[in-house]
Amino acid sequence: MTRVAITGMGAVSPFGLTADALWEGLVAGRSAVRAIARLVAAGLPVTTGGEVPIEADDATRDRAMSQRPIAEALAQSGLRAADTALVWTTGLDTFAHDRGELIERSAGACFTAIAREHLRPRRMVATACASATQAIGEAFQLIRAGRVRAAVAGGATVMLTLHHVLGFTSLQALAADLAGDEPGAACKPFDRMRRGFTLAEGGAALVLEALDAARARGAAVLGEVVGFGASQDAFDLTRPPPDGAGAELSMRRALDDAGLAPGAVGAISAHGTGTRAGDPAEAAAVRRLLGERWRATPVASIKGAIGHPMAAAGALQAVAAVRSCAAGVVPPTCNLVEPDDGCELDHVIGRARRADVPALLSCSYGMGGQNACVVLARSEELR
Amino acid sequence: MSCYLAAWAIERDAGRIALDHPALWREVRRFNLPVKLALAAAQRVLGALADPRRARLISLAPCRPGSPELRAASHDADASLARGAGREVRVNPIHALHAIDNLALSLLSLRLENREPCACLGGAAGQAWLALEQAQGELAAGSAAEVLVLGGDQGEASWRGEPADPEIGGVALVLTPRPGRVRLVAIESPGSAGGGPRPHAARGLVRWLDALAAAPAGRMAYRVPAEDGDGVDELTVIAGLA
Repeated sequence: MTRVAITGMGAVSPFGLTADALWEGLVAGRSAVRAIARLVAAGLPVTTGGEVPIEADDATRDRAMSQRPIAEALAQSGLRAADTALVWTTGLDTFAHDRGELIERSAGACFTAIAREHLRPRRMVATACASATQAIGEAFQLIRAGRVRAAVAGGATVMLTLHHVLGFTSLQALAADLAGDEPGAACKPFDRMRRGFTLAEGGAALVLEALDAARARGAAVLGEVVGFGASQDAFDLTRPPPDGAGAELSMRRALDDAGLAPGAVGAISAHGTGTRAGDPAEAAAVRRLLGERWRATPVASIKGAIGHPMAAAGALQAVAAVRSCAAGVVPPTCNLVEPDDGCELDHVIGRARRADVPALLSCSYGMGGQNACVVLARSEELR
Repeated sequence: MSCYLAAWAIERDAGRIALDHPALWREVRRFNLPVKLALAAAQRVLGALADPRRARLISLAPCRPGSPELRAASHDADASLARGAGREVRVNPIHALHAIDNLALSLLSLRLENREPCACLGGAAGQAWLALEQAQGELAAGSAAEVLVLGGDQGEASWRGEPADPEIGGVALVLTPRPGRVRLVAIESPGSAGGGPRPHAARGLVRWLDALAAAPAGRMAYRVPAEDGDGVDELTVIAGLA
């Protein structure tokens, strides 16, 4: 089967407008989450979020959030949009404000506007928080099967709207403001004091292509996608099963797909959103997957640092994961101080850790029960 | 491996769900119209699945998600937010779920206890044809033994809570490698499309199914109308009818 290389990456995140900015912020272990003026002005019970410092107004922000990382990734790869298929997520529809008017913002229309520059298939993925990881996995499958030679995969979202904050507050998913707690510390994945996630904007793109084709044209290979696994919880619309069975199934399927044993995983990029129910379920799944090796396999979540861009989260995780494999560094889980009972894992706490990461499992678990994991591997050139 | 259309169903009347499928109605009555219609259509083809727990589910997100309830709540909330009274706003969490794209898929996986890999294509123009392509690819690769595609639409009228809406419809199809009357051969893209598409989850598939039902035996090349396409490529669905 065709091996699948990663030859370009781009990201916009609360840390800045490049993949480098994301990586440097994560490795530094600082939080880019802060109080958002418009959420404060609206008097919402949740006023923190991860805002991307991109210059775009409300009406065009969604497109800019996709276009910028795609352009960065394509420039690095040396390919054009017209050379690539697109497997992408643009998140959820919402309301936005344009010159004071409440307007609808269609995620589908945003996708269509971006997609027309790409080859078929132009697939819009919508499996909630699992979307971007699913998109990377589906693009990987398309290339591995020889159906396309190259694809841009990932996603971007603009989740910091007043109406998204209201909606997810009603679902009791967000970290409500707490007197005395710094805004940047609102989301505390796996921590004893966690109280939900913070919404974020952001996006990331990976250019995937057949490894042989990439080498033939002299492209730099940043890493490889070597496995993809997906599953469904079939448990509840808003909660995972406490034992994390669906998450475990998707991780096992990804490793099976890659032909790797759990022991070959050098690190795990956790979904880790900081919810009371989700974190221990995920930790339980990882412990079962790894057996006793869970005590020595670094696990980290990026969401304490940047918030949760929902559908796009997996793409940002993947960019960081590829950098982890290449650099042999796992960034810490920002705001994790004391792992909660039931959340025991080999967490990376406080500062980045050096580690040999030949392969990394990057995981996303969507509300509604769709789960997706990809296995990313270090480029052979770096082995 | 070949891909055959084993069963399909079209649902245009959400009012019938309570009568025809009372158990399903109890589960979906709180959710939005596209979800109800998609699941009602799916209910009618489940019998064609050999193993519903292992079938590959491919869902089409509504191109117009939400509901009159969520729309009204959002407009009401906007006034409160404008005067800094966000803490006073209460949104019914069920209504908040009406904005979620994968709701029909999640409900169906729960009903079927299906933990298999799945797909949910978003609410952009032309995704329905990609669902057929994906189903064909899954069957050809042997990664699934049977595929259920489902989707539901509502239009502007339903979204606003108005009674008459020509856009509503739910559709479900079962595709398998088991030989049947309709064989899905290919989806071809012979050129560029003109005109603007009208995004849909179900409508394009419904039109294709209507055309299939009326077609004589033999090869059928269905040219997807521009408004049902993706706005970029001309699409033709090739089927063989026994």
